[in-house]
Amino acid sequence: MRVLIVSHGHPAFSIGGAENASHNLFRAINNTGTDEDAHQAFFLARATPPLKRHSDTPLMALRQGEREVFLHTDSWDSFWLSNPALDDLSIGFGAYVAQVKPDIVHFHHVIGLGVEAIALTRRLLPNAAIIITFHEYLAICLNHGQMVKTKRNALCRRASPADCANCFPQYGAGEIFQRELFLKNHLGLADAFVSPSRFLIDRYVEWGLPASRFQFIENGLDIAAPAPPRPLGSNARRNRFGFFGQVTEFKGLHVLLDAIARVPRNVWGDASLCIFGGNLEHQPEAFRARFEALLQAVGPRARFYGSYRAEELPTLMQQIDWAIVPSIWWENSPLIIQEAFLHRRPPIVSDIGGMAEKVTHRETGLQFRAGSPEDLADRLRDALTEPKLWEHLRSHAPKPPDLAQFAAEHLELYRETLAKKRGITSLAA
Amino acid sequence: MNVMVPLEATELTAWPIAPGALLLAGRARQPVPTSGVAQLERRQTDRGTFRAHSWSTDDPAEGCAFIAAVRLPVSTPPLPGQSLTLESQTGGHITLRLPPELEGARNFAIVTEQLAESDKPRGAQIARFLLEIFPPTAMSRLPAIGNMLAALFPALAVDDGCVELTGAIPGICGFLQGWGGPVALDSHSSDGGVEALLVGDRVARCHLRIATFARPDIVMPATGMVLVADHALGHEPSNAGVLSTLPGLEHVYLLTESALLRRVVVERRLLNPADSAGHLRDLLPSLTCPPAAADCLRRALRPRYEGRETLGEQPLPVRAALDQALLLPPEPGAGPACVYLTGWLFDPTASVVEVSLCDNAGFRARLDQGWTRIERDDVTSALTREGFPPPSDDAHGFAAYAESPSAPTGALHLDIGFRDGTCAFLPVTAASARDVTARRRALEGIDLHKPSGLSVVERQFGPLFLALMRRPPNHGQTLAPLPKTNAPALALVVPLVGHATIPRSFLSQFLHDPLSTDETLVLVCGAAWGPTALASLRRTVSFMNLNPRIMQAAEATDATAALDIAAAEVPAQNYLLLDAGTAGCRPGWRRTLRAAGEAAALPSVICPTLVYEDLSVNYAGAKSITTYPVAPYISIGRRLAGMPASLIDDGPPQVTEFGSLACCLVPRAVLGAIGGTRTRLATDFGRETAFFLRLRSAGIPCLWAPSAKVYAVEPAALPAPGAAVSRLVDGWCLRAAQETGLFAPKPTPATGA
Repeated sequence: MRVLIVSHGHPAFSIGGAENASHNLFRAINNTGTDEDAHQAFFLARATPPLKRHSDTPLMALRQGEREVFLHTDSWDSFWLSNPALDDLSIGFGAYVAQVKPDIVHFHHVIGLGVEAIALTRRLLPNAAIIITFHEYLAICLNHGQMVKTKRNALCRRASPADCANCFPQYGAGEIFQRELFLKNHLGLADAFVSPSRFLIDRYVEWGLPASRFQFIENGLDIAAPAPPRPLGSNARRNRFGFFGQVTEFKGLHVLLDAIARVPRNVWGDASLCIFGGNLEHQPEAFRARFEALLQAVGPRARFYGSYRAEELPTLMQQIDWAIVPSIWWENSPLIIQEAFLHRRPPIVSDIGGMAEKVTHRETGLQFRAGSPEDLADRLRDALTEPKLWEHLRSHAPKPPDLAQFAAEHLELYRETLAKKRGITSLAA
Repeated sequence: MNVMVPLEATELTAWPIAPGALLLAGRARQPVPTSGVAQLERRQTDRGTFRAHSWSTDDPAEGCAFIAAVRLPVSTPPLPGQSLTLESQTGGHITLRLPPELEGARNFAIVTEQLAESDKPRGAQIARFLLEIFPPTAMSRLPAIGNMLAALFPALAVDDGCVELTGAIPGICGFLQGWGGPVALDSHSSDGGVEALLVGDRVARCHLRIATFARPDIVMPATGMVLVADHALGHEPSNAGVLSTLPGLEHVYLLTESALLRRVVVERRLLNPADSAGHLRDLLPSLTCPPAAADCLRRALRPRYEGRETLGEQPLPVRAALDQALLLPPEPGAGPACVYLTGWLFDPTASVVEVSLCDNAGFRARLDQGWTRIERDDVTSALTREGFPPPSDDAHGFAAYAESPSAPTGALHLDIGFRDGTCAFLPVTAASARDVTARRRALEGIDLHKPSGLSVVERQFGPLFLALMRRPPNHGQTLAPLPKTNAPALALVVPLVGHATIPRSFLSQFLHDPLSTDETLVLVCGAAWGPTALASLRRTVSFMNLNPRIMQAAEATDATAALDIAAAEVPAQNYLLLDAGTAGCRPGWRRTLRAAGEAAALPSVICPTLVYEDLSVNYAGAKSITTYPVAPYISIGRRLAGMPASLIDDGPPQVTEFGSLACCLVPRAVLGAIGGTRTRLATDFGRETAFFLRLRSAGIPCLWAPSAKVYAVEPAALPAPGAAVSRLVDGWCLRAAQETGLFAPKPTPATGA
């Protein structure tokens, strides 16, 4: 089976969970199968300025391997999720698809490529199966796909043209509805949808995509040996907290910093929070200033270490006892939660969306009221004052799927989808 | 009375003036009835009418003399020797036998002259009768009539003075100056003037007003006279033009109360227009005349517009400016010339008595008598700052509408008349009222928040749009029926007449509901689509594997115009007009609509259910059309509008009062029957309402197909400036059109084409 995986970024150039998940799948598929039955996976990602494109073609290799290619795009309509450069899409994406002739085209994202890439795929490969993995709610929500309202970052529980027009008054409800129809018409060309959380499936089904086409597949991890517990001295506590992820407002770092400041000194003691995260330099000025101020206010309680590479994670996990995911948006299936389970660092998460789905309170981790520094402070106090809690939680940590399992589940989905598609095609013929 | 009168042939003359017209002169024992029915040979098929004038002769034994004008059917010319019965409405009649030979004009004149027996008062009556039955138009069509009168009138007239010079002021008046006896003004004339016959190289009629002055230089008692032919009277041919152009003028006959006066033209001096005005101006202080003549002379002597603004040069504290002028020329059978102007006139001392739109060729339309004054406090503050006297209010703005039977031909200007008799001019540049952009700009200039807003809608803009509505469309819309095998069954016509925006959502629906082999897609792009936008559109449709016909037409300014343009260029059995904001709720809805059309007993317009983006009803049939005496003037009652669409029961197509142009299947036969869909109304609501009212008027059914469901979202753009005004103007027009029967429904449906 030949599989083309399409993503909006490559981990070598872009930090993000979706990039990692999609590239993990690509590598995992290439590592599966026997010599007689080897599967071939290909990876196409977007390349953007300041990288300059070749003059005669939008395709680039960027020294990433024989089966990896990049499509350079520099025009993007974020409202319509559309690529106005249809010629480049036809010449570049169309040419690569015609070259590879995949049986499966699996979109992990359309950012930069445009939903038109789905329509082009359907036209060029009428017998191929098109699969789409959703990592967030970009088709539903204009606010960066987070389903968080633009006013006060309140959680959005249901999309409608009128509600969306309230958040984005520069667009009328009619225009937003036309966007919805446009995206549904393109997404509807897919044969199957994948989501790493059931919460996200529910959201998309409520939006109007057919439930029968959805498949839940948890993100797999490149499992190395789990990090051993942090060595403790006598009478020491499990008091090292860690944050891993992009430093954006939606990740809730401001809630976390506010929370650790509220823990009384006699409780906090010598505890500390380690922040490992990148992309701060790309955030709005107001957020950066707020983040710096909060960081300064908590003094020695928190240390900001900047970005990290995926391969550094096991080493970094050795320094912490707890992994905190304080996101204020729903999240889908944050990889960090799976990684925390892998390394047996109990996660402390917001009680919403994909986070609440993955973590069972006081069983596999702790939950706190989303957006509430007071509630998070209470959970931190629990972590610091209940000596047996850490052991209890880490002993119940589920085993995340490894990449082999991740690939196997996807390959099974591909086989079923192709069989259904070609079976129907045969009947029709 | 039934009198058979044997007449001697020599004394009855009959002159066939033209086919179906006969002039008689002769004697009878008794007076001939003055009017009634004429019948040739007592045949019912040969009946016409007559008018006659009789008079007693000097010798009663010879009975009465008479002249009569008879109209008979053109198909049966009178023949010599035939009997002709003249019967009055009271029953009295006389039967004549036509003479052995039907003579010409000269003989008629001779006989009539003889019958008049040199009685001058009698001659005046004969002349009056003849001038009444022969209006100027008849004389210009039949020169023989003028020749006859020129031959007859010398015998009927009294010599009375002469004409010494003639002159003319183009577009205003012409005049003859001379002297004669006192003229008893014609009591038949409403303005104290006299009818005149001018005899020169040809003969012409005109109506003259009389101004007199003393002529002490003439020995015999004589009165100087200026006989003024007022161009404003609108006689045909041009009253004033006659005087200035009639070559070889020799005699002027004036028909007064008691006599037909003849004035001889002696050494005629022909003044040119500049000298004419100066001459009259010099003479004016010594002239005595009735008000109509005085008014004409005043107008003749007013300053002439010379192509520039003169308002600023005059000393009165009056200023004015124009914002916009729209002009709609007259069309025979369709309407008069219409003019719409807006501007402001600052007149704090009430010095202005008249404001008219004029040209120098005689066009004049009074504006101030029916205009709407509009609050303009900006004018007040600007001009009082400049030192002008403070006005009593801010109503300096105006919106004016006027109609005129004739069109202007010269340079347009405002003629502002002042109380002291002076005047000033303001140049006017008028745009065509047919220009959509000009009309839109005018609509945007009306402020509904001002008290005058509705008045402008009802008294100025509404009548202009109504006049436009009544004009024939610019396009010819002859759609021949098509053989079924030659053209697609359905052409989807999508107007892209606003901003040049790719209709992504609309086009994406074909990914799941592709066009069938007997359907074709037509995109009609308006003026906003430049080469770059069109290239982008072509790329997009090509990428989507669609192959539409893309038309660009600057005149495609709205959906109805786009439909007409597409239908003229793309042959199809049916046209589905589709707004770019529509998308089927489920694939297959077009099939449902087409099936409804095929099942209908008559060619019908079919509309699906339309649903807003919030899943409420946009259109589910319409139950009523209501007019109101006040704004909004007309409304359409839509079923379930705004309510949840789930309330609609799917069912078979049903007849409805009204459809929706957002999605509308129109058979080609229907388009041909109503001659196209385009109107000149300002809004989509107006155009849609007019379209469906025209269908009703033509007896074409409109059906609603409930089970065909289509999303139809409204455009995101904020309402354009002038949108509210435009809606009211359209509403007013449509109500007026309804009330005058333009859209009166016919009881019998039209049969299929």
